[in-house]
Amino acid sequence: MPRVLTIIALSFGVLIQHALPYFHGRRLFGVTVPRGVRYGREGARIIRTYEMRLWPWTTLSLIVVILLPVSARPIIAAAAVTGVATSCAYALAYNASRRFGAPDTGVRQASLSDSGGDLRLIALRFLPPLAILAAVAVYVRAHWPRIPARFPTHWTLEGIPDGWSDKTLAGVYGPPFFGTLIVLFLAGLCVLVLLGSRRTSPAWVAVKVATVVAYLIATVFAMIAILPLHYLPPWTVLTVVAAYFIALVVIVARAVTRISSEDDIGDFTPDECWRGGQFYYNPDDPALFVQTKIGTSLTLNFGNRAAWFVAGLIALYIAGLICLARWMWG
Amino acid sequence: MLSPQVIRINLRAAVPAYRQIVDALRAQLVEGCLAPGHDLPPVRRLAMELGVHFNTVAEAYRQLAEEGWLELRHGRGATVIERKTPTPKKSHQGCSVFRQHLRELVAKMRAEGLTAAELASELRLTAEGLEK
Repeated sequence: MPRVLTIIALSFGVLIQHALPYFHGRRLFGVTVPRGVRYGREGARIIRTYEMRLWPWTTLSLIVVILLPVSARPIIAAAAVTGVATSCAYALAYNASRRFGAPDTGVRQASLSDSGGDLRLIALRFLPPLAILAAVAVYVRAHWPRIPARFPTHWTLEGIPDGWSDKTLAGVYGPPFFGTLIVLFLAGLCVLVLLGSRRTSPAWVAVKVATVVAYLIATVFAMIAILPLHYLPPWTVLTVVAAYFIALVVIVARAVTRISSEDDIGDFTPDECWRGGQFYYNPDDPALFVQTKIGTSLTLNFGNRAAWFVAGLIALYIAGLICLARWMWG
Repeated sequence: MLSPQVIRINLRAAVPAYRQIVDALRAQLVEGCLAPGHDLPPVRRLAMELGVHFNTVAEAYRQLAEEGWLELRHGRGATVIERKTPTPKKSHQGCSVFRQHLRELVAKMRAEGLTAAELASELRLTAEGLEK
């Protein structure tokens, strides 16, 4: 079972890495190029070279995972190898594509409708996951006497407990509290995205993805929180995670299809402002978040001073969450 | 053809961005696409969407407010208001500037192959469209 899951996860990653050049119909490795180049001989040659550079490494990684005994080191090594190979192949393909880059037309457009209700929408979307976690905390409080002094909180895939907690405030209320912090973090990110990005499809996709992740986090942490009172077999958690994962894949796949057919006017970021095709630096652009050149996600505009503050804040929050988790669960 | 309530500018054009925003908004106001009571996006929001500095949009809003089209709300953007049609002034200077612009535009279109009759028809249709 763990081997099958590992192979599925790595295969999915490899599939994404090989599909990167096809994520956007008007760009070639993040560079906006004329249609004739994107679908012409030059485009095909650059994509073919990228795939040829990637194949040996992704094949090797899959062989390693299939043949070697299941343990963390070979899996991490295989994932790292494909990651590094993809980054190198992508950087080389980006450099090859740049000489075909189309000049910035300078055309920008904006909607004149004042969409002031977006923050209310975020509140409505994120209240249910917070309510789930609060309800579980209340339920656990109501049944406090029934909680044993020590209870299992983690199982191996074979169903053997390998993690335990004590009947303390941190042990019992830790999971819903931790889940609440993550959901609030995601809600805060969505607010920042809506306030600091152009209202293009990727911004809404980011909000949708964050919402689904918030529901996933709330459900999983709620399930963990009721473990002192009810035994849940590991497959229930795996089923919930798989269901949310499928929902995420559907959302992203639909977004990729839609965004790849949209024009660039909505969120045009000049090619010369992308450092290595990955980092956007444009002090003249007031946007805090912009659409990445690949995929459907957003990235920070490091030319905006507020972006450094936001990046620092995000890093601090994540570091805080890690410290809190270590303090609560060792 | 742009959908109503969408403006488009060109940052590479010789015309300053604030002037393009004023012209694009005024066209929509005159055509009635933006009716009285319509809330325009806050200055920061529109600046972000267009990729221009906040002051550029603020200046455009200020100019349209001076012309009587908008009411500015501190920190919240602007609202379209009912505007009294001003009495046409027979200002010699205004007419002369208009004639100069029109002359340049007509010359450009004639150079691109349009006939005088076609241009006259276009001008009449545009003026009638704005009147409605």
